[in-house]
This record gives sequence, C-alpha cells and structure tokens, in this order.
Amino acid sequence: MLRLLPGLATRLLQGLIVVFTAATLAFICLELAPGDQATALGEQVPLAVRERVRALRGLNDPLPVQYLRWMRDIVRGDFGWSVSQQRPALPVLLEASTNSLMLVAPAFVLSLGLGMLLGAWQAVHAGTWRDRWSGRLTLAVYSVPEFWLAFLLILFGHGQLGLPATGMVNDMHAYYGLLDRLQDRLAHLVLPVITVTLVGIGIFSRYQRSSLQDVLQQPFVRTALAGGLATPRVRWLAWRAALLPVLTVAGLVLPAFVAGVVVIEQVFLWPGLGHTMLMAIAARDADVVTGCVIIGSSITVLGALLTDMLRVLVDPRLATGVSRIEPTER
Amino acid sequence: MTPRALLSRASAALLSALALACAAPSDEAGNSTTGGTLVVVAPAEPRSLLPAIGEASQAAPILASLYERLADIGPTLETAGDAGFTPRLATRWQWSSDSLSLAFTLDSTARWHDGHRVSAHDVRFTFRVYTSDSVATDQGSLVSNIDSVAVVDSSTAVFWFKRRSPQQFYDATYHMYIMPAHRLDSIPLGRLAESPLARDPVGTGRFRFARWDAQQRIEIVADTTHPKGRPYLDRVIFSIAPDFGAATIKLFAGEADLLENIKPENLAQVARTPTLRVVDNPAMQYRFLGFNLRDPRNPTQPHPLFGDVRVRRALSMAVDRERVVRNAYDSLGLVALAPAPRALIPDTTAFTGLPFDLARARALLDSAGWTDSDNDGVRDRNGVKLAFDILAPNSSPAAQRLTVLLQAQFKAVGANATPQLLEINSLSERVDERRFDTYTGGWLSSPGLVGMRQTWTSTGDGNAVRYRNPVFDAAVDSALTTFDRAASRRHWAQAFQQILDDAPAIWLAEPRVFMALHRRFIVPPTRPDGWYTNLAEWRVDPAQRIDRDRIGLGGAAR
Amino acid sequence: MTRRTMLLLGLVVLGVPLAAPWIAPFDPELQLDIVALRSLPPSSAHWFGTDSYSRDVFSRVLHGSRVTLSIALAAVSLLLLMGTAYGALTALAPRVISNALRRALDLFLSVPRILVLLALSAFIGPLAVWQLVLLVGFTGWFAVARQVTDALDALLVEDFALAARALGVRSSRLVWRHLLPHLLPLLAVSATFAVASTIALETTLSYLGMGVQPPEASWGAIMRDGASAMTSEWWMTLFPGLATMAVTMACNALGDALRPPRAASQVAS
Repeated sequence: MLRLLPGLATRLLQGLIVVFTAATLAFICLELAPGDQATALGEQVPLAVRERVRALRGLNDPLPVQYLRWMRDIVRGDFGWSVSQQRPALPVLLEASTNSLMLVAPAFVLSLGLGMLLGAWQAVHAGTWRDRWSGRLTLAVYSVPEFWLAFLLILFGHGQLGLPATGMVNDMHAYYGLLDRLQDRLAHLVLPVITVTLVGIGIFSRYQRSSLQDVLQQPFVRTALAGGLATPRVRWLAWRAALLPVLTVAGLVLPAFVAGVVVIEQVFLWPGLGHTMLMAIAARDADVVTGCVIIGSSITVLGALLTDMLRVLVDPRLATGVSRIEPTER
Repeated sequence: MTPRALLSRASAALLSALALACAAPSDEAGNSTTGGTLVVVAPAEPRSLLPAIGEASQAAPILASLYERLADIGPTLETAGDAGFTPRLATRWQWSSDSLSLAFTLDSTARWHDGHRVSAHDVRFTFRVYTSDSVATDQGSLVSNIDSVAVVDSSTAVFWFKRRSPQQFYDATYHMYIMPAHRLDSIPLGRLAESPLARDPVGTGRFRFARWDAQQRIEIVADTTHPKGRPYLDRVIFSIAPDFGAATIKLFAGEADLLENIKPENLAQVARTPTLRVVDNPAMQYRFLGFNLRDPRNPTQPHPLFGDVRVRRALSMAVDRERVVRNAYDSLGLVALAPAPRALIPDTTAFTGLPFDLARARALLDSAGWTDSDNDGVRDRNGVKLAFDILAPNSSPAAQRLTVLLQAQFKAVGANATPQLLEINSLSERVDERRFDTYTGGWLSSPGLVGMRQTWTSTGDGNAVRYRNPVFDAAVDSALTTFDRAASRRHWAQAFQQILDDAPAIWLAEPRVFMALHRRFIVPPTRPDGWYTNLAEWRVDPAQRIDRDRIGLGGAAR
Repeated sequence: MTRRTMLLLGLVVLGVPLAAPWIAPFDPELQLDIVALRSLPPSSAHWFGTDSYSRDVFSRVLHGSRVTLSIALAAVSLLLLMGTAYGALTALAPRVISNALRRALDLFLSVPRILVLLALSAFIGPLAVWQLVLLVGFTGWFAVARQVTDALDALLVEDFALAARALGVRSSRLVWRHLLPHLLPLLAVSATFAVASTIALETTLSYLGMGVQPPEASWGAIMRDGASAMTSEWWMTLFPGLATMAVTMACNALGDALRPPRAASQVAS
C-alpha cells in the first residue's frame, strides 16, 4: 500500500480537476436551461418585477462573467446563496448531505454485506433451484420501479407493522425526551433503508455470484480441494479472489446511492441530496445545484480511489503489472 | 435609546416574562378550552416568511397567522366601503372630507414579537416594500391606487389615494401585512429577501414563529402576550409533504390533522375514517385553456388558427365541459362559468356562455373554411392543418388531466391537439414570450375581482393570450370604479358577456377545495379566501384530546 | 428449465410487443366514456380494468410494451456498444491518453444518471421516444466502460495476455480474438441488469414527469397515471409492475440460455 503514496497525490489532483469540471458543466447546463431564478418566482409575479430582479442579481450578465464570479467565490470557500431556501448555500448542502448519509450509509453497508453473502451462497449452490430462484427473485426486486417498491413496503411496513412511513422524524420530535428521540429517528430509518437495501442487494449479489462462480471453476480451486485443503478454507480463498468485480461495482454505484435515490427520497419525504438538487434545479438555484454536483463528484472520485486501493490490496498483481499500466495508477 | 424608552422596554420585557411564566402552569392546570396542536400538511415549502415575498410562494397560511393587517375584511368579502371590516392593527380610522385620504390610528398596545411597539413607520415602510419593483411581490399592482403613506405621529398613518373608488379601504388594508420597519428598513430593498427575518420572522400576529426545520416543517406557537388574547391552540405545525401520496399517508396515519385539496379518490377513504371529516372550503380559483390570439412567430399578426373568433367559439362548443369536470374532479369541481369563481360573480345568471354543441361546432368550423379535404381526420384550410400544441406544466396533475381530456374532445371535431408537458420554468418562459398555441392556466381571484385588470384587460400583465377588447376593458373599469352597486353589477354582467362571446379561452373548471380535518377540532365557518384566516379561533374539543394536544406551551427540549 | 424453454420465453418477450396492434382489443388512446367507464377494476370486458381517462389498461399495457421494450433494448444495445468500445480503448491506449480517458470517465460517473436525465429534459423539453433512447443510452454506458476497463486491466496482466504481447500479437487482434470472449459473461450480466434498470428508469422518469408524453402509452406512463391512487386503483400499478418483473426475468433466462456453457479455464474475474 505504501507503494501507492506518490501516486495518491497525482490521483487527488486529478480528482480535483474532475470535481471542478463537473461543477462547471453543471453551472453551464443550468445557465443554458430555459428560465432562470427570476422565472422560477412564478407567473404571479409581474414580468417587470422579475426583470428587475434579474438585473439586480446580475442574471443578465454574459455567461463568462457570471461564471468567473461563481468561480471566484468557490475558490474562496464561499458556496454562495441558496435562492430556493433564502439562506447561505453551505448549510443547505451540509444538511442535505447529512440527511443522505444517514439513509445511505446503513443501506450501502447492509446491501453490500447481504448482497455478498447471498451471492456467495448462490455461487456455491450454482445450478440448483435454490440458486436460480433466489436469483430471479432478487432480479425481480431490482427491476421493480422504486416508487412502487417503496409503496409496497409502506403498505406492509406501515399498514401492518405500524412503522413510520414518511419523514426523518416525527413532527413532534422537538418535544420528545432523549430516548424517545433516538427511537423516533431509528424507527423512521427502517422503511427507507430497507427499500434502498433491497435494490442494492440485487446488484451486489448478482456480481458476487457471477465472479465467485467463475473463480470456483478455476483450476487452482480443484487443485486445492484435491490437495486436501478444507472446503471452507478453499471457499474463503476463492471468495477473496472473486472480490474484484464486486468492489468495482461497489465503487460505481456509490454515487447512485448517495444522490440517485431521488424517488425514494420523494416518497419517504427524506430531504437528502437528490431531493435538494431536484428542488434546486426547479428553482434554478445555481449555487445549490453546483454545490450538490461538487459533493456528488467528490464522493465518486473518493469512491473510485478507495476502490482502486482496495483492489490492489486484494490482487497485488495489479500494483506491479508489467503491462503499460503504471504502478502509480494502482 | 432614551431612558424612557429603555424603561418601557424593560417593563414590557418583564411583563412578557411574567405572563409567560404564569401562562404555562395555568394552561396545564385549569383552562381546558386552550391548548392543542394542529398539524397541517403543506404541499410545498415556502421560500420566505416575509410578507410581500412570501405570498407568491405558498406561505399564505403562515403569514396570516404571524402577521396582521390594519383591518380585516368581513366574512362576505365585501370590498366596497369600510362597513364590513373589523379593526386589527388599527383601532379606528378617519376619512378626509374629500375621501382621498384615510387616517388610521394604530393600537397602542400592539407589539412586535420581539417586544417593540408597532408604529406608523412600520405602515409606511410596508407600503414602500409592497410597491417597490426591486421586491419580487405579486401584490404590487393591487395597491396601485394608493399614492403614498405618510406618518403623522407614531400611532397615526395616513393613506393618500390617487382617485376615489369603492375599494379604497380594501386596497389600503387587505393586501398588506404590516412589516417591522425597525428590523428591516436598514436593508436595501433589493436585498430584502435575504434578511434573516425571512426565515426567522417577527410579526404582530396571534401566533409567533417557533422553528423551521428545512424541507421538513415549520412550527408556530401561540403568542400568549398578544393584546387581543392568546389563540386557543398552543401550536400549529406545517408539515411539508410535496408528494401527495406521502401526504395522504400522514393524514390517514393520524400524524397530520388537516390536508387541503383532497382528491376525489381519497374521499371514500376519508368517509371510512371515523376520526376525519370533510370540510367544504369554498375556493376562488378557476382554470382555463387560453388561445394565443397572436401568431407566435410574428406577434403583429393574428394567430393563423385562433385569430378567427369562429374557430375559438367552435372549439369552445366542442368540449363537453360537464363530463370533463366530472372526470377530472368528480364532485369536487364545477364548470367555470367565466374568468371568475362563482363566489365572486355578482350575478351568475346575467350572462350566458357557449353551450356544448358538437353539431354547431362542426358547422361553425365548416363555415370558417376548415374542412377535412384529405380525409385524414384533421381539418385543414389552404394547406394549413387545424393542429396546435397545448402547453401544460408537468408539476400539476390537474392541468395534465385537463390537457389529455381536451385532446380527445378536440379530436372529435377534427382538430389535432398535441399535449406538451413542460417543466414549470420552461412553461413560464414560453408563456412570457408568447411562444405557444394554447396553454392551460389558472388564476386565484381576489375579493372584489380587483385582479381582473391584471389578468384579462389589454394592459394586464397576466394577459398572456393578448386579449384586447376596449369594450371589455371599459366595462371592467366601470365595474370596479363605480359607487353604484346596481351599476357595478350591470357592468360586470356586460364585461362577462363580452369576454364569453369573444372566447379568448375556454373556461374549464372551478375546483372546489375540500379539506380533510380531524374531528376533534371545533372551527368557525371557513372564509372563501382561505381556511386559515381565523386560525386563532380554532380549538380542540377537550373530550377528544390526543397526546400531542397535552404538551402545553413549555419550550421544546431543543 | 431447458434451453429450448428459455428460448421460447425469449421469443414471447419479443413477440408480444410486435403483435400488440393485433392482439389489443381497444385503441390504447381511446377514451371510451370519461364518466361511466372511468377507473373500473378488472372485469371480463376489460381484463386489466380501465384507467382514469376510461382507456382500456390491457391495450395500453400491450402497446406500452412496444415503447418500453424498444427503449430498453435499443438503449441497452447502444450503451453496451459504447461502453465496450470506450473501455477497450482506455485499457489499451498509451498511458497519458488512458489516464485522461479514465479521469474523464470518473467525471461522467460522478453525477447520478437520473439527475442528469432530469436536468437535460428540463431544457430539451418533452422527449420523443427516439430522444429518450439516445439520452438513456448515452448516459448509461459509463458503468459498462468502467467495468470493461477494469476487466481488461486484470486480463492484460494474465499470463496468456502477456505471452501474446511478447509474441507481438497486435492489440486489436488481441482484443477481438482473445479478450472479448472473456468479457462476454460480464457483458451478459451487465446487459441483463441494463435492461431491467432501463425499464425501471423509464418508469421513474415518467413518475417524475419527464418520460414518454401523454397520451402515448408506456409502462412508465401507465404507472405514473396510477401512482396517486395505488390502493384504490391498484390495477394501474400492479399490471405494469408485474409485466416489468416478467420481462426482466425473461431477459435473465434468455441471458442464461445464451451464455456459453462453462468456458473452460481462464475467465474474466
């Protein structure tokens, strides 16, 4: 792992460029979209007033001017002002990120863990009816539109089991005692986390199964078993060898987890990054949109970095590949 | 600050503290008519809790509870004269002899929620804000008859009007919630929206602001030191739920007590829930399909299809509005008679609209030269097809529904309409720039129909279809400015008849707004301009209290 | 399940959309009677009931299958093609270009697809089916490219690849003859997922208002119409939902049937 340190700096710098470019693209896209902050004020506000607001906010300035202004602020650490929430953009972004994290972190860990377990079990029983039908079931769950899945879970979890169906906390949360507040938060997490987890299990189990199945067919496995190594140990080694694609996929879907669960956020009234970004797009709230993109792409970059480092850990060959791939890349 | 002011401030603070200290125990102990928590489902998060700006962004119920007007309109929403109005921030008023100025004397006991006295400077400042074009308000044009507001002394403000009209008093009092000058007047008006008071408001209302959890809820609590007495309820929580499915879940789970705008499909379930009842909430909105009377590509020319009044009238007669409304709103909607809701039309029988008549519609199109020469089901004339777009926002299920229904109705007479569901900003832009054939729109009318000038007269900002008829303009103007009630009714009848004959739009529906409300609330009759106008009078039946009603006014742990 | 059964299943999946205009009892956009026939539960006259515009849901589901499946298949083909090409290019290119391509891919991957689609449709406006296909396809290939790149990276350090390189085998031949076959299992899995997720994506886009325009029928559009009344008008969401699940499972079965039986030794890891 120490081999990676010199390359780390390069990767981080490249990551910074990626984040910055993503934010720039988002800024440009938002500017090019029809309407602007002033349009978003609505038809009821007279056109003349909206024009004046445009002039006051500098919205009529040419794109490069607005862009430079934005860039100057970002570099200084000033994330700007949220016009959709009429307060500084930074608290908006921090709250949205925290809310997303509260939902996504447990869901990600759960779906990765359970997915790998399920996939491994399927690979070991490959070809049997257990394997086939559990595979079909997970695929079916994955293919069901999220809002319908969420609704079915609400129907059961809320209708039958009485779990809270919407929101992060109860409306009376501020008046609860400490213990009640903790319980309230946990209770509100159950259904949304299960929904996101179910979707994730499908992905992870599928790739785990596929890669483990392939590994189990490798000659070294047969050799190890024939040589007298205990089956569980062999399976453990095989699993380690099969980790790579799963890790790749984990790194790939991380941004989708963080900012892509928009529909789930909408159905469960969970004000996370996806929902916040959607509202910001509708209000043409440039600072919040670019802020969300910065957060989202930072997570992707970090996720990619982490995944690559883990891959080297798992398969050291990748660090010293004789091919054209430089060690610093891994 | 002078020693005298300091002393009065200190004593006021002491009194408040004392009152608060006393209020809590007595609430829990004795007075069983006060107390209770109302949870309202809000379909969208307000952008700002400042008056002038907030009205345009879903904050109406909260603004009405946190702030006050100089005087409040009567339950009949009579806008002529000052007879039906009840004093609020102003205790009395005095007309000048020529009726061109009006002096209000403010309540000397009125206080802002931060303890400051209310003064005439607040009234003048408020007027400045509402009439500034640097402030994104939709109310500015409604107070255009007021020339200025002058401060005579700290408790007397004088309104100067440009001309006499029956709505002078209404103009001066209804549209403006008085704002605290001492907190806001140092901010340049262009940046008023960014003031911290937008998220931490200070008003004079019976409720005061408690907390705002971003994108989740806004809570207001009873102001126990209010000169007019505290409201019955302890608090009102506005729980933000943009997704309608989630909103209904909250309602039926008992987490929320009030849901506005319930849909027909929910009515049955409400009927089955013993704790809920349906409250009729007469509303003042209407929806229409507007025909662009000008050619979008060349605004000086009339629209190739809709420039001809016969086409517009024919298409109006081709729509079976009864059935469309029945489908879209079930029993929760009525066919719109005119560009105004029934509650505000002085005499609904004084004019007649176009009937549903397919035969007449087809005949009219034939006579206008639109025939199906190539038998493809779509009429044409001189090589131009009777085909057009219908623009609708994709954020409004009602508008979408009307659009899809209309498309089928038009098909029956050989007109090919293509729905275009646009994101709301794209739609706004296209409508602003007049780049559309038809669009589905709606307006919320003001008492006295004072908004008609903005929506359908030649000089109106909101007149996106560019309907221009001097006869209509004159009739509306006369209706709004004459002091003779009977003459006003005649003028309105004339105006409505004119616009119905000209058919610049198809007047589609007048949605009736019903709310589902928990039975434990005892409420006075709701006013048509908002269910929230008398929130201070709402109370909880002591025999039906639930857990969240018993919390009392003690501060929250946070 | 035999291979023959799975192939048959696949044909049904493809055949139903093609035959829809002949099988469907009603015109999918015909509003039969907007008052009397509004929102009827399933019956012998209307197997899947009617929707709130009094249109026959069974006909809409059949016609919708054409739209939804064509979007899914076309978009998935597009994204597999683009993803594989980009991934191969990245793995085989000289270091500098490869780095740039990788970072560019990081960039593309950093904004979640659904938000990109929503933002783009905000300013392109209402989308026609072919536009949806392009949009979905062009935003979906990044994940495939990444996986192909990583798989090829791993493969390229395998002994057989190093040997081939040492022998002087040209890169393109290396890719075509030796590496791609090892990618097929990976691509098959990706394809299955891609079809499933594209169908779900179309539904989500429609739910959020940006999918196929009314009154055109697609499974997403039908579910959107029924989303506000999921308990009272359950047939509107149930049948497209079941159809989605059925198609996904059929594609999966098809994928399994087409998968080369047990590639002997070296396979993509």
